[in-house]
Amino acid sequence: MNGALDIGWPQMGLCLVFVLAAGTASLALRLGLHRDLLWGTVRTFAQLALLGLVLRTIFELKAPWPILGIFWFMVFFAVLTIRGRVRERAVRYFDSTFLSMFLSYTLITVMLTAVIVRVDPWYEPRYFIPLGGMVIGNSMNAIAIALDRLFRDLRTNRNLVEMRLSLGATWREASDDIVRGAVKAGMIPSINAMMSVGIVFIPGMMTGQILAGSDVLLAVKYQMMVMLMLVGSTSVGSVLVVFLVLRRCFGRFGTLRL
Amino acid sequence: MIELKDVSCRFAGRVLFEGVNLSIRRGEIALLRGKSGCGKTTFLRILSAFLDPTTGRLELDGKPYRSYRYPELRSKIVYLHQTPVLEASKSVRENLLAPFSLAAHKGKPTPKEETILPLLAAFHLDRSLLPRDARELSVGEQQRVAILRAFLLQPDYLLLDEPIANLDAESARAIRTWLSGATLDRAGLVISSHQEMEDLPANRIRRLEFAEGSILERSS
Repeated sequence: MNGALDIGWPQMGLCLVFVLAAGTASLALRLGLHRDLLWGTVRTFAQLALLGLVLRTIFELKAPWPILGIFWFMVFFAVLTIRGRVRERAVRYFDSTFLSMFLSYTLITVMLTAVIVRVDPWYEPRYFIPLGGMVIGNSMNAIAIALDRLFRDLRTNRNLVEMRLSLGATWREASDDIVRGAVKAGMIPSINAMMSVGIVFIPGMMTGQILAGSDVLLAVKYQMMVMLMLVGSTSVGSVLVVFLVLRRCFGRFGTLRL
Repeated sequence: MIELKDVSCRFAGRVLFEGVNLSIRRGEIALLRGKSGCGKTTFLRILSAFLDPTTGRLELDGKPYRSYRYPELRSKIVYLHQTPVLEASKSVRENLLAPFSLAAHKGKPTPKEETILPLLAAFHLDRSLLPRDARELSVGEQQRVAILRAFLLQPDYLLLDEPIANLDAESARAIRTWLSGATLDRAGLVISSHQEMEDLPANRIRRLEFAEGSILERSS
């Protein structure tokens, strides 16, 4: 087989049956989700169509800077999404989250393309952008979980943290178990995914490669690389961001800002 | 000596206290009195560097607070919250010894059993509590363990926020008796309390009354 079978536009229209089923459930059970479903469907079509157009242009690029620029934009948007989910106002964390995500994920993606897959040049957009996107997307979830947990636990354990500080602890000592809990919460989903991959679900990238006519063994190798890369990048991301942001949660005399 | 120089504190346009100049020496017991919400807790939090005063400055032993590293400052001035906070899922013994693993107390010898047992007795706490999970203790017992834990660190100043509020009579009496004892005569104590703190040694007591934006010292 050479490439996936084409799907005709009438058949694409038929896919709306699935959304109609969801909409019917929403109306019948009065879930109030039908507007979101409609808006979500419109956005799915619009965003993916736009992505298709953009990717076509991007894949023609022959210089590293525009690719890194796109990567920069992807990370920026990921941090905006994290900010929307975490909703913390007392502590500034946008800049440190952005910087640590951008630097570490650029490094990880370059390592993947240049050292492991050995693409020449390393910034070949057909590899760099999708692989980088997977790193950013998964780590974005991990970082959002870790930061949310960090802020929530510092708030709910305020008296405990203050007690430790008042007995002479540094801000690091006073929040040690809370930090470990937050980093762990960020890391667990990608570890769980490693446990169930191939048994509970066939990952999207592997499915895509197989449908596109790629050799199954090659698809398996790519997926293995992705799983290992994700566990690494979510860990690096959670640790870096939590430690950088943690310092901002404490004032000059180690007092909690939250 | 803790010195307050022209210290003021305002919250949301309200003056809690203004132009406070006073010093608290080791060996003294400063009793803070005043209506609820008058700023006693805020005052204690300023003394322990958990809050900055709106204006004015504080010094410890002739050096501004700012010149200290905060763990060092807090190993000299220990503040205890009104509600006792112990490390959950740790035993009473582990709670008492936990602060000795902090960098600020490096070099201080970890107290041995023979140091801890007489102190437990002085607080009317049974030695059988030592291996028990701190969460199993009553609030009164937890408060006594919290004060004992702070005392083991031998701070220069101990700041207690309502140490006997909401406690049963036995716990309150045990704490008052201990505070009046000679074991604390080298430390400065600053205590806020609604209740009368009878039994405290009159020659060491200073009464600081919070009223209408100022702190007045009253002769007893």
